[in-house]
Amino acid sequence: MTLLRTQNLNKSFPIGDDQINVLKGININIEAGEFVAIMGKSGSGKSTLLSLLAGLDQATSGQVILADEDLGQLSEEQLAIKRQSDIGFVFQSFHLIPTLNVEENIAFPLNIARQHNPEKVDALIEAVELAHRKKSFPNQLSGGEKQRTAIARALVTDPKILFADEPTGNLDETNAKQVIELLLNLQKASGTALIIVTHDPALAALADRTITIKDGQIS
Amino acid sequence: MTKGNLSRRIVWREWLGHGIYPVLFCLSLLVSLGAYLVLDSLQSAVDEYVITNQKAMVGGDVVIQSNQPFSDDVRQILSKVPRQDQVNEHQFNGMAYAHDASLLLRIKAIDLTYPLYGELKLSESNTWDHQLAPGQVLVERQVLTALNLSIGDRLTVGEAEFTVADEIIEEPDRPLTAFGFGARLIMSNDDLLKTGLMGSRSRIQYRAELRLDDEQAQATLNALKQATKGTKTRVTGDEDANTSISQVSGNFLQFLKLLVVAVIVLSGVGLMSVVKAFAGRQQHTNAIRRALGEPISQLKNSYYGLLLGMAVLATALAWGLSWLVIAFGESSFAAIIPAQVELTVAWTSVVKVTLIALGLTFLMTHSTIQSLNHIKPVAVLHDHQGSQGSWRTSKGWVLLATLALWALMTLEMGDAWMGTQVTVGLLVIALLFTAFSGLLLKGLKSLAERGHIKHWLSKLAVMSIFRKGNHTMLFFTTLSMAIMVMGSIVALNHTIDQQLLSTYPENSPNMFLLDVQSDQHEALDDMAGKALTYYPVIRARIESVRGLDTQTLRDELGNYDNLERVFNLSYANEVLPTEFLERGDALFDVKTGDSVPVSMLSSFAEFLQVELGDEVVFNVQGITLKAHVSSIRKRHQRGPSPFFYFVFQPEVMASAPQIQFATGQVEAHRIPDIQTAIAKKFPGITTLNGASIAKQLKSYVDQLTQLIQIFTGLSVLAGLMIFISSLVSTSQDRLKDSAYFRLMGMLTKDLYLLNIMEFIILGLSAFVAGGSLAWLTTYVITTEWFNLPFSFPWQTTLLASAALLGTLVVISLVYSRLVIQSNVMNLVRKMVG
Ligand SMILES: Nc1ncnc2c1ncn2[C@@H]1O[C@H](COP(=O)(O)OP(=O)(O)O)[C@@H](O)[C@H]1O
Ligand SMILES: [Mg+2]
Repeated sequence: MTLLRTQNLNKSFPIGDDQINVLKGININIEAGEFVAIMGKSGSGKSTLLSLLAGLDQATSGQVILADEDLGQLSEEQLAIKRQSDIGFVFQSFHLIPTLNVEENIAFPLNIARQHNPEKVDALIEAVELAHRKKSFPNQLSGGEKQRTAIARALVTDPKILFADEPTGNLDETNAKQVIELLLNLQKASGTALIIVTHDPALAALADRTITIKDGQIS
Repeated sequence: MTKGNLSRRIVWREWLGHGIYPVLFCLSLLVSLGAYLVLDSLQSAVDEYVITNQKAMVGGDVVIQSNQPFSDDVRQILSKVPRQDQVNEHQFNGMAYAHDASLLLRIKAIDLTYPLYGELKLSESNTWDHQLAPGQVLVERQVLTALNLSIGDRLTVGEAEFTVADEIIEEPDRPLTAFGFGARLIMSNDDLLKTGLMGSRSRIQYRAELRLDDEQAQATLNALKQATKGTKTRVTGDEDANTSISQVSGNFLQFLKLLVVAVIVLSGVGLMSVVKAFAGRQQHTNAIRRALGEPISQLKNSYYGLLLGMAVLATALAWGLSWLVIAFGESSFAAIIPAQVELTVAWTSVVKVTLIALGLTFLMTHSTIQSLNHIKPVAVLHDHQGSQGSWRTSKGWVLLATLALWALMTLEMGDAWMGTQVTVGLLVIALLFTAFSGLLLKGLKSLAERGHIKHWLSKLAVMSIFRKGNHTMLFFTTLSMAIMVMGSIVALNHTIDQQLLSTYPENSPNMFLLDVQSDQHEALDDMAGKALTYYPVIRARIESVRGLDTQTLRDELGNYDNLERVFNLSYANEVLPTEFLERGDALFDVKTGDSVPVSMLSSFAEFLQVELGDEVVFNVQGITLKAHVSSIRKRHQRGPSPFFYFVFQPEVMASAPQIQFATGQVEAHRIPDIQTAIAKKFPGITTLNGASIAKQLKSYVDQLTQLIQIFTGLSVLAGLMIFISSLVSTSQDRLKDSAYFRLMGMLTKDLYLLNIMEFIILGLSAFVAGGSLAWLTTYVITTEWFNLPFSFPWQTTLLASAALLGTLVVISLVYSRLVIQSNVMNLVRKMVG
């Protein structure tokens, strides 16, 4: 079953009076539960693509259809609700909220959806091996711990699809390995689809499929 | 632990984690709200007192008062009111002496039915029992101390001796002003004639207070008004009675209140900068929150919750502060609040202030919070920081803010039209400043572009001021507005001070004798040890000017002076030493037909629009006197020396019924003795000691000045707050700038210099702008409204500019040090890495 699909997706940014076309006619299909790696040179448009797929930004033209719903037709607020319920995101530079501790950061997506599920939060804290750190604030954590917190946060709402933009880009090798291992385990366990941007061929090799972007197109 | 609203928790922790925001926020509000709360409480205490003691303060349900004996019609009406329901009073000044001391009195002769409402409180017998034996008087403390008397002792008033029966503690219907001429002595009307002070007396105030039921009161009021129509007799019901407490303290409190409203507006600007700075800091977190799917309304609500919560907190602190001020500073208000009025922080004031705090916070932070709408969740994917939102305002906001200001002003002034005027005035000022700062920016830009600035650091400083566009506008506008408010207050205060000093110049008379007779001149000159100057006064009314009757003139000329009143005419042979001839060859020309020459004072001649030769017809106590203007005189300076609008030749007036007064300048320490000697020899003469009156007046004005200074201090504090908040709000941008310069290899010393130069250029131009506007405003207010000469406060201006310069250097040094040392290197590393 197709979970996410794009149709002739274009994205351009205005640069002064001119504009640069970053994505030019992207068509992809992602099945539920699928694990897809996206590769490409720096500046090729991977993050831009992810931002469109995750409803963080609107396409210049073309469609993004998530579970039979055209994201382009949704208002800003409807998109926010979508991100809240159906989409998880793990960023290269973690983006934890500095004034919330580990536990609160993880619970935050539930909280904004007016949900309360301490068991789920606790289970995820256990799963990312941060039980001893749950009252710590982000500035007290190592990079690996931060990213594990971010992973737990991304999964707490049981999203249909999880995006990760170079999740190990800011980590050393050991931490990177641990984070990837966790991410993949949790993805398998939850059955969510995973789209991951990476420069690591070894990681890409683990994916069901690899998409390579070049000059704004799939090559 | 994860229960509860995490959104709220995020903003509160971030807010409290950076102590500077809550501190600035609270201080900005605390200062202005606390001041408002104090003044509002004082106002409502006074109002409350007036309302509950209205009848006692007025003295009756209907009161009639005149400087002339009541007419037969009036007496007819009064005679219908039972004796026990009316009090007849005579008030006048007179001298009292005992042993070798004398004192100016304000004597009040009463019927023993006094007071109809309220209580006369005495020292020994507590409440007066309406008994006063013949020859007994009641006096206030001041009389006892000045004449060195105790209860039971005797003193002389006019030609009669009296025994002090008791000391007056509180008089129910005494005007509650702190300042009045003469100490109080109460005697019975039955003893009045014994003093020999009636008859020739020129300034007796006749007053009758009546106790009536509602129906009668209305009828009597109407009848009295009918009977006194067209005369100077004042008839009042207890409703429309204007007691002097509500006049003096009311006006002054309102003046202070308007100052404080200005400070509130300023502190609103401070709030705005603080919140903008905070929101700017929170951009990244907000983008994350949006990316995680938090609805925008929820995001905004967390901010509203925080800020309104802080507003309530600040109000609570302001309440505490005002409580302290009122509890411990009660004596500072003695000049405007009579001791009988009990002071507390009024609940209605607290409610009012809470609403103002919430409204102000909402208005001032609204645009910043609305700018959260533009947060792009995608920003989290790109590490570049968006620039801080500019100082944007929508039309709707401007409308709402104007409306709120208008509502507040109307509430304060108690009048929609006045509120509109003040609001429009404030808006014009704000527009002026915005235009001015726009011009300044343009000027700086063209200076920098045309290469007029050679010194490279100055050039950099100017460029960076210009580049910060919107922030410079905000910074400049608020700083210069704060300076303007402070400057106006200082300049106004200075002018009033100067005025007071010049009212009693060194060589002006300091002793005034009232009700002198022609045959007493020689003896008085002897007692004073020098020749006094005598001024005859003849009372008359104006019948017509230039052939126009007073009614027509009033319609034509407006209400500068009441032309139907009694005027004091005088006569002399030559121009007074305090005056000079402005027009005309001599004081008088010749009599033409039945028209005699009269010399006029220029200010009044201007008002009447008369020229040399124009005709003025007088009615001198029943006799018509035709005169033509023969010269126009002007005074050298204002001051206490007497002056007359109309001066005639002696032969025209010398035989008319007249009273005389005299002035003289003697050594201040001799005045009390001279006063006593005169009181003993001529009991009919009232002596005023100018030096002690001036001193009394000065101490009264000093108290007012002190109050004004306190509130000026508040506005200085608010200005400082704004200065610091705008520094905080622009710190992010400045930091980035410094990092770039550092990266390009600029020396630390130059980095400091650059920052300091920027501050000084901005601060000084704001000072000049705000200062000149303040100067202009004060000039207009003093010359146009108060008709006073304006005097420029050089000393204060110099001091203030030195203080500002010092403050700017210190703050910019501390600030640059903080910015440069703590953060720049991190940022530099980030830029490179
Ligand atoms: N908001 C933006 N405005 C202008 N250009 C942008 C913006 N976002 C991304 N770009 C440009 O789009 C291109 C692709 O960026 P990005 O998707 O971040 O690449 P990648 O993630 O593959 O390294 C880059 O050239 C980048 O400069
Ligand atoms: Mg990228």
